[in-house]
Amino acid sequence: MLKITNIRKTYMTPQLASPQDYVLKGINLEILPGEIFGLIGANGAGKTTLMNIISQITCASGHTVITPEGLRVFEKPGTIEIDGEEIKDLNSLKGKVGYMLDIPASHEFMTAMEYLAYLSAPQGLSKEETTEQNLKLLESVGLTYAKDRRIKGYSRGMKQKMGIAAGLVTNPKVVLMDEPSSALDPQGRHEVIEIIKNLAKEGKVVMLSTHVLSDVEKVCTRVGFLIGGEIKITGPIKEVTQSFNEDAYRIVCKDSIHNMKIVEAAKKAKGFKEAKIKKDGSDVLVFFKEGGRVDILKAIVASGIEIDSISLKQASMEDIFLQTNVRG
Amino acid sequence: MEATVIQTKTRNANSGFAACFKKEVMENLRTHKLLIFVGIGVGIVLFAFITLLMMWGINELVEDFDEFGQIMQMFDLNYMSSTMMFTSYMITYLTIVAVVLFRNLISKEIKDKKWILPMQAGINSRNIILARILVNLLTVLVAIAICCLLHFALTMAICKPLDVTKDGWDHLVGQFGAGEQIGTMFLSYLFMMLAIVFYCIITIALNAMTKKQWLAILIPLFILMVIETVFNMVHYRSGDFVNGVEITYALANWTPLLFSSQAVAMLPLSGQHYASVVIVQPTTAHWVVASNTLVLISAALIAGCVLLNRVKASK
Repeated sequence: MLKITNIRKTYMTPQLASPQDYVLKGINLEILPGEIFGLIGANGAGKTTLMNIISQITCASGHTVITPEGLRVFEKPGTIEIDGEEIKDLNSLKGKVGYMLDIPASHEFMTAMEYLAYLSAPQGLSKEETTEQNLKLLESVGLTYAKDRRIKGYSRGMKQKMGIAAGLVTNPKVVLMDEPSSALDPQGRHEVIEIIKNLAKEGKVVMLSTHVLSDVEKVCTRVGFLIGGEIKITGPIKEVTQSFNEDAYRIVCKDSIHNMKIVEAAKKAKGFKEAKIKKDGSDVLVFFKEGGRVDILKAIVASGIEIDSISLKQASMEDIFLQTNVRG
Repeated sequence: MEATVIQTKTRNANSGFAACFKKEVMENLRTHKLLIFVGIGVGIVLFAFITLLMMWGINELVEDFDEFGQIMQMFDLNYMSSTMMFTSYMITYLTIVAVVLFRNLISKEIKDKKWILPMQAGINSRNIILARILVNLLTVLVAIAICCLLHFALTMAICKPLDVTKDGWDHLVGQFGAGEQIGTMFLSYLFMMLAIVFYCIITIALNAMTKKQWLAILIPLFILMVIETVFNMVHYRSGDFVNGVEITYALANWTPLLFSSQAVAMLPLSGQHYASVVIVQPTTAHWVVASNTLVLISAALIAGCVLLNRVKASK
C-alpha cells in the first residue's frame, strides 16, 4: 500500500513561504495494491511534482504553522510510506518504486537488452537469470522483436514501452506513470492501457497521471482531482461521475431546425428548469427540476417533433474536469 | 502480463560500478567520443610535424647570430624538437577540445534525468559519477597514447637523434648514464598526459560540483591561456635578470602547460639547445613537488565530485 501523508511542496524557502507559495498544500492519499489511481489536474497543478516526491527525485517541504498561543512552529515535511515502511531518501526507495517519466530518459546508444541488463545489475542475478527476466519484461510490453536494436532507432511509442519495461526491472510494488500514453497512436494507447491493467492484476499500486481522460475512464479504479494544490475530489470513477450527473435530457433531433421547437415544448412542462442548444446545433440539453423528469419527457413526446435520440445526461471525466475549474 | 520478474536477491549497497563502467565504455565507443579524440589527436600530431618541417625550412634562411636565430635553431628535425612541438600542441589544442566535450559531462546526465531509473534500480549514485569520470579520462588517455605511438613512429622515421650513439628505444625509455634521466621521450609523454588529464579533471569537477557549463569551460581555459602566459612571462624575465624569485618559479611550475614544457627542458636530450638560450633548469625537487601536487589536486577533485554527489533529490 502507498500512503501519502501531509505532503507539501514549495520552491521557496519553506520557513519564509506563505500558504499561497505552496504547489502542494498537504496531500493525503492511500492507494491499495491492485488499484489504479488516476491523478487528474491541469498543467502546473502539481501532478508531476507529487510523483517526483514519491520517487524521491524532489524533496517534500515543511511548513510553518501558527499555534493557538500565536507561536510560529515549523513542521517537518510529510511522509511517504510503502507497505508501512517510510521512504526517506533514494536509498530507502531502491526497488520499491518504478517511475515512468513522460519523456522516457534511457541511454539511447544501448539496445533494449543492454539497457535492462545495466539496470538489473544491482540485483546480483546471474547472466542467464538477467537475460530471462529481461526477455519476459520486453515480451510483456511487446518489444521482443526490437530487443537487439539500439533505443535511438525506436519510435516514440516504442520508447514509451521501453520506459515502462525499465521501470519494472526491479519488480516494484508501486508504479508511477506520468503521461504514459501521451503522443501514442490509438493502437499504442490501447497496448499501454492493457499493460497498466496487467500491472494492477499483479497486485501493484499504480498511480497514473494523464490528460487523456478517456484513458482514465477506461483503466482507473479510482481518481483524484488535484485542484489548487489539494486533492479535492476523489473516489471510484462511477461515484465521482454520478455525483456530477446533472438532471437533464440530451435530445438529438432528426433535423436541427427543430431544436427551438423542442425548447418551446419543454418550456410548457411543469418541471422545466433550463434549456441549452449546443453551438453547432447537434443536440439540446433540457434541464429539469426535482421530480420534473416525467413531465418534460411527456411534453417533448406530445410535441410530435421527430427525435433521433433522447437520453439522460451523464457526466464524463472531461465534464468534471471543466466544471471543477481544475486550475484552482 | 504474468509474473515477469524473478525474485531479486539481496542487494549490495555498493553494487553497480562494473555495470556503470561497462555502460560508460559503451557510450564512449558508440557515440564516437574516442574516435573524435583520436581523430583530433592525429590531426595535432600531423600539424606539429608540419610546423616542425616549416621551422626547419625557415632555419635554412635565418642567420643564427641573433637571439631569434638561436631560438629557431631549437626547431631542428631532431627528437627533442619533435617531442617539444608535439607535447605543447597536444596540451594546448587537445585540452581545448577536451574541455569543450567535457563541459556538461555530469550536468547533462542529471538534466536529462538519465540517472533516475538506474538509481531507482539500486545503482549507487557515487558509482554512476565515478565510472563516468574514470571512463572519460581513460578515453582521453587512450587517445593520447595512440597519438604518442604515432608521434614516436613518425619521429623515428623523420627526425634524427641529438646523440647519434643512442637509438630511438634509448630515447623513449633507455638509460642514458649515471645521473641522467631514463626514458626521456616517454617522460615527456607522461608529463603531457598528466597536464591534459589535469585540465579534464578541473572541467569535469567544476561541472559536477556547480552543474554549470560556462564555469567548466571558462576556468580551465583561463588557466591554460591567461594564467600560464602571465607566469611564463614573469618566470622568464625573473629567470634571466633576478636570481632567487623562487615563488614565481614554483607557481609557474605548478601550471600544467609550463610544467610540461619544463619537462622537456630538463631532459638531457634537450639540454644543449636550451643552454644556448639561457633558461633556468628546474631541479628534480621541483618536479617531485609539481607532479605530486597535480596528482593530489586531481585526486581531491575527483573525490569532491563523488562525495558532493549532486545526483540526489533536489530541494
